[in-house]
Amino acid sequence: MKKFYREHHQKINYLLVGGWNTVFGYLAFVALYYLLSHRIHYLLILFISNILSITNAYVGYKSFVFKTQGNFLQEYARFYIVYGAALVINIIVLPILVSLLHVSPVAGQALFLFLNVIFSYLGHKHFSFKTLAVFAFVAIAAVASAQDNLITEYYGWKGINPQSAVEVKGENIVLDSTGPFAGFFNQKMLSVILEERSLLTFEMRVPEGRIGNLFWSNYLDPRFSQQRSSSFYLGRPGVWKKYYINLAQLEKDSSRVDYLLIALAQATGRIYVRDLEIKNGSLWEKGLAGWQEFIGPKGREVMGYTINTMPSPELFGRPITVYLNWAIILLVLGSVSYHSYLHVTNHSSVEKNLHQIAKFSALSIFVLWIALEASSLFSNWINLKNDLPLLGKNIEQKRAIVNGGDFYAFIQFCEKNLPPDVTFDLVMPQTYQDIKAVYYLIPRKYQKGGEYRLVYEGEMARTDLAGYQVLHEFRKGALLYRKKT
Amino acid sequence: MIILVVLLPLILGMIFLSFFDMRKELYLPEKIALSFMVGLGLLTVLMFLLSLMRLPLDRNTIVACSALIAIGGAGFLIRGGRSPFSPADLKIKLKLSVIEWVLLALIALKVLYVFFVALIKPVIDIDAISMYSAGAKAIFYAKTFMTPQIFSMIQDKPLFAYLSQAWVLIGLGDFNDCLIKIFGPIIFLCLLISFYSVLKRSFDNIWPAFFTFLLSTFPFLVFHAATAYVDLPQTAYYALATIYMYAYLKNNDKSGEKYLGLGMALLGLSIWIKRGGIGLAAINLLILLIYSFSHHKKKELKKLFSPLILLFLLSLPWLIYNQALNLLGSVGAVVAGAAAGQPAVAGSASNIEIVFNTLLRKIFLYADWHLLFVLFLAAVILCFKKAFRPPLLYLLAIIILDLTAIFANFSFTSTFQWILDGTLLDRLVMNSVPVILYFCAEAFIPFLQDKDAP
Repeated sequence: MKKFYREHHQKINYLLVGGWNTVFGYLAFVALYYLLSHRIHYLLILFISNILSITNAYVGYKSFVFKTQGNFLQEYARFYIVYGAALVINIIVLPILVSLLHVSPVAGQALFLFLNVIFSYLGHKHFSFKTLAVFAFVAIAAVASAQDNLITEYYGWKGINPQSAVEVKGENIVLDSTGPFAGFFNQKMLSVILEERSLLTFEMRVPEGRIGNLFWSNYLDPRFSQQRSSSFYLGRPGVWKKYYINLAQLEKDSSRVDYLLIALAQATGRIYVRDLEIKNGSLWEKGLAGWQEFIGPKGREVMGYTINTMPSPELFGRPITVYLNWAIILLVLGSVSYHSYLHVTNHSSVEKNLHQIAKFSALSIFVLWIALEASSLFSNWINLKNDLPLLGKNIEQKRAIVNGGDFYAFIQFCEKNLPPDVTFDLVMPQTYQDIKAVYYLIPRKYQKGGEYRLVYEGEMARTDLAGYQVLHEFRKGALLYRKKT
Repeated sequence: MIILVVLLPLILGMIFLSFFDMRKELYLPEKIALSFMVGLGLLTVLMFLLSLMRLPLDRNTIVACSALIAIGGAGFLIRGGRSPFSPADLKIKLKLSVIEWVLLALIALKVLYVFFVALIKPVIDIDAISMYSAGAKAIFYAKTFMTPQIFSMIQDKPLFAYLSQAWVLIGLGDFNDCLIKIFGPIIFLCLLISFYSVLKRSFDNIWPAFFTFLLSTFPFLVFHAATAYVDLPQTAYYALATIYMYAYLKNNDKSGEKYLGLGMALLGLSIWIKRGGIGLAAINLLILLIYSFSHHKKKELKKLFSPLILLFLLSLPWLIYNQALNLLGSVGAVVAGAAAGQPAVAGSASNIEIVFNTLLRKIFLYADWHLLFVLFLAAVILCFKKAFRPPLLYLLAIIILDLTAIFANFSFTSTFQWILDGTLLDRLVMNSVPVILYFCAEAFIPFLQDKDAP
């Protein structure tokens, strides 16, 4: 029993305090209603009783459930946001119950309270008493925060490949990239504790490219990996765009960040970055981070195994479907409680109530489904835009575009120089190019140690070329060999 | 030439469908959609047989043989006074509400998107290239699938994707890896049309259009409709086979029997698409037999005779050619393993937990299926009276067996390795997705359409 209490004490205390709050809130409403209903509207009574019950609940939760040491006023204000949201819903639901369904305000409020307990537990756990504010839906009021501009030479910013030069020029990091991949990282530790500062912001101007990636790590595990990364769509070429990334929500394993890597694919030319900061961030900025995360490439772009699976777009570090599933559960529970109440008070038939619950649940799911589909249509639009440059091109030009670089031009070169009934071998270190070469060169047959050997970007495989002689050179590093006779 | 590529399977399918004499049982767009799907499957079987007979798979041979079959079939039909169409087909009824028009417009938009994305670019998905399109291109040049080079590409996989893609190239007379994907969007369209039609026959309101709209929104289905991969055809053939079989279970009369015949034909053809098709077909057959035994027994079993013959006639060439050999090989391996004291399969508690977690995460939290599985849960729980009573119970049993088969396959066989890199699970789940949505439609529409309906 003790063990059970130790493990679940927060939930048990919550239920006890919640039970008391529910009774207190309801009694406050009923008392005020019987005292004042002949003078003022019941919605105003609802409002006054809410102030009383919110204050009572705040004291109870702070002292017995969440036991926080946080700022009193800040927590109390957040508490109002959670209860305020419940109050808004209460103000909508109660008149519906009273005016449309002819339930008395006292009975209607009793029904609403059941829903309120569930809603407020989730709200307080994830918002009011969390030291870090993680939700940012509405509040625009910016909170003054600690800031740290990271653009100084102290951090030793360096390019990810030898061809790219990185320089700190005044307030900018300037990166000159010549290869297909560009990026830079810091060599000296940032020592950022995420509980203190978690919002990374920067402005960037790129000459081209579509997608950028931010990677982060810390001194305990300094490797950059896909797990600790966030991707974002780049702004229009030559235009500054501000990026917001909430590291606290994306980082699940650690509480500190020491190294950052900003990387861009297919972006050659001069790239500028300014105002690179990790700060506390206002609710508004964290909301923007959530929005950029949601409309970002994750769950929308073909990455890795997308032919086999499609991740959901994310919001605040979680798949969007998590929120929708919770919303559905709450809506169905709400419908069940409402119809149970109807069954008890009006003696309406179970059959009819079940019918209404099923109908309401299905309609709720459909509405959220349509919202998801709107997000999917956005992904479709991105795909469409990516494919539009292919319009009006012939099949050879299309193959050249989708394969990138001069790979397909090399294949055409080989097609021209290889008879159709020969065997060939390949030296192509880049992933999947071998499969494509075999496909494009059919009816010629691929065979290990075949009569011809195709070498594309195969510098490291020169030793394999014993017994072969150069037949034709497409360019340096891309050659066609034939077996010595 | 692209017209020939599409028209030939359509004609073959129309002739075949006429033998079912379903002039009144199907809507005109549905007849066309099903004719195309059945015809494409038959064309695959024909190409397989031609290749076995050492006839070259070129345009002239295929068109001539198809024409012979079509003329012969048409002769039989004329003598029997059967045709695929009825005079009623000419009367175009477009009495749709504004909401239905909006929904149909949205569906049309998605279909256009699929056609555009599929046909604008060459095949780029590496699995589609290495597994299917390379094989199809090799068949196009070799005029047969029976060469060592092509055997090494095909291995023991069924031939639908290879031969149907090869037919595009043969029909065009050119290697065009944009148009090689044309059957994906067409099958997607056929699936939507047939799904809508079946629902519309049962419920004459806006909900069939709405559920068809939902079917058109699945991101994973849409993605696969635009690739040269094989999972969309498998899904479409299997799902429609199940839905038409359900039409028989729901309405066990003369027209129901015709739906059963159609369902079995599609099920037989689905075996030509993926190896997994055999397992799915077995599940459907099991449910069909349970139904027949629980209803009037002998009389019901007699009704199954012709549809089952059709199913076996369509699937046996492939089963005999390939799967029987595999089966012998597998039995041999099991016997050898047993003799050596080794278990035939390996499963562990941790595997089961991993598979279970992954399955739940994939179906509830990924973008693949939007909110389908939440809707399905709601349908099972909230419409339990309907869901757990025949005939919907049979559909529920098929769905549960399909999902259990996936779960068991990953938990207890070497397929487990594929769950870790996530390459197979979603594609297997896709096969049942239209059936699950159809189940939800059957369960929910009575509640949605009528204010007082229980």
